Amino acid sequence: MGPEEAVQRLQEAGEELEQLVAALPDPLLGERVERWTPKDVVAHLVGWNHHAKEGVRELLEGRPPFYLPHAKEDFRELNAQSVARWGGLDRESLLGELKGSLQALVEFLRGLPDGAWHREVQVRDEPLTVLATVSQLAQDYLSHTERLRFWAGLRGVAVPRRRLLRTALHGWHARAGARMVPFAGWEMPLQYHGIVAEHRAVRTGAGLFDVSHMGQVRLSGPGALATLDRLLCNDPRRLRVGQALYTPMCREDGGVLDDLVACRVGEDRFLLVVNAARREQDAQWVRDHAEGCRVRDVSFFTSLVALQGPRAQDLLQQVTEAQLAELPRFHAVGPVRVAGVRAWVSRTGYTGEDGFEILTDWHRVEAVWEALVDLGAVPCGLGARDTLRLEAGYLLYGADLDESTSPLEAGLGWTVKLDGREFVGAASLRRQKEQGVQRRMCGLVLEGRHIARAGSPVLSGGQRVGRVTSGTFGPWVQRSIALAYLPPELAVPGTRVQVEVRDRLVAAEVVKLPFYRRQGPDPV
Amino acid sequence: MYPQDYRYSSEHEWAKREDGRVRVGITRFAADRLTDVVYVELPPVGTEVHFMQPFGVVESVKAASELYAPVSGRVVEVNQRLRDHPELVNQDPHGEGWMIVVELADPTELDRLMDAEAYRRHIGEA
Repeated sequence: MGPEEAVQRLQEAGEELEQLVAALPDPLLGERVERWTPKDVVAHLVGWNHHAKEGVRELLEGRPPFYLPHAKEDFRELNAQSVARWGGLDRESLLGELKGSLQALVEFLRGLPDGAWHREVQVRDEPLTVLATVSQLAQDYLSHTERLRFWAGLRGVAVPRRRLLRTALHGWHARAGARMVPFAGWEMPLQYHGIVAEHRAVRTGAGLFDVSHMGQVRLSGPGALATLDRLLCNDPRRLRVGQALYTPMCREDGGVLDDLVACRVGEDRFLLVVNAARREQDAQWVRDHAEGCRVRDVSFFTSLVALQGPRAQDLLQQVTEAQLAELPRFHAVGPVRVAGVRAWVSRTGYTGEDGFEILTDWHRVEAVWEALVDLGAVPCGLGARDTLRLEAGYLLYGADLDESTSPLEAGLGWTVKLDGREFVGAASLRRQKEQGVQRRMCGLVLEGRHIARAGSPVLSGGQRVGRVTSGTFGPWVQRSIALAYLPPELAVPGTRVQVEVRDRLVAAEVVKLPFYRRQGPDPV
Repeated sequence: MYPQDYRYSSEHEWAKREDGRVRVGITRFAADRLTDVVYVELPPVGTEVHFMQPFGVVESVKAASELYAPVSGRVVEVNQRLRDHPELVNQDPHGEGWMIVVELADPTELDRLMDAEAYRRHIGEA
């Protein structure tokens, strides 16, 4: 990302916040979201417009910004000062301060010579630049704005975004000619050169995905483990530091709120990687149930890329000192350096291949991405991500899973650890397990090349017995494949059913999932 | 990108006049939007197709889309290669990826279609 893009993003982030605050009715403006009211949020960002300007001046003099070498408590003090100074203003004056201070900052930044943007000052072993400072401030704006937007929505005040959210790699995707599409509020690459070519690259070599739209929720504190033990179907107590697990998170009635990966990054610290469309709900749910720990949605301060395919380890090993051959599946290591950037690396993915996911600070990801592309990783979009996950039999939240489905119906029984545990939803799932489920997720292979799509009815003996939740033509397995919920007696491999595809009945067979299984031994 | 001697429909089919016949396919724009085509369902030779009525379906890994006849008439030829090589639609939509040839019933229908420039405006590429 260049200086111009960074400044533009900052301005746009400011406009999003202005618009949101302008739309909040008076009573909400002074209501506490948690610690702060919306007014306090604006006041503290007014403060940061001033601090950032000062900080950039110091960077250019070769010193760390005055606010950085300090501990978090100093931030708190700084923010409290801003809230005390501007938080009491009326709406109009406060928005005036926000616009004025942001405009002053932007003009100051626009006046900087190009060379100034990339001058590095070492702060806690990390190089800091003006570019990074500006990017971080823009992300801070977005993080607060999106939180307020969600909170306002819960109170019946819907304020749509002016524009879609963009990852740190958005500019790279655009320059590469990717076809961008809206996805869960984000503007994401659907494909660069073609879904099938990208799909094959992952099955035969290495593909690289920008999955920074996914949410990251961090829990820290002595109560973190107990909190997750109360919320996750899978058992987080099994996790040692550096281990991760896949798990549904359920409502009291057993409906799936989200499926996610939980990683233990420290004795009392966990990171949840959640679906983009569920980020706000998940973070709120975890906050509402948290005891003895701090819950932070850090999604706007992190970037996540996935390197997937049989060559993933070879490629990644060339740019990291982490010993990847010794990293088992669903294990994570960090912080390590990847292409010179501080990162966490996990052996996880959503493609059915060996592969890694690499988590970095939001603004540092481009160096990682470019290093891997230079080594031959093929950039892949959401199109290939979807066909790959479907061949591998992985479920997609919002299509195959939602609040009306239970993990037992969805074939995720292996993640539901009921023994001696009382997580939210456990009682309902225990009952379901005893009584048996009414429907079960299964794989279908259709004859010919007719493709079932989400919603296609499934018939047996002329009766409608279920519906397809996902379907495509598997580019690698070369079959028309689908996922569907069927009554348990039909959800048996070998059962013949029919799928209605555009007013035509197509013969299909229930098969054991996955449709595609990677050959060769598991790593480590 | 969009041949000057073709005519174009608002549903993104092209029509190329070859004497009394018209060759029909989908445009580069449509092929790109669909993403990789994996299946093309076409009518048998002899079928009557009608102006801007569906005559077949094209399926990609992402979505299915109906094909609309840019002219009325009888189908006299069908691109059999698409059965095993649907990727031709993406690789060469205005050439090898053609779909059917129709015996033109009413030549004035061609006047109701767009020329290349109007089509480029239609898709916002002008």
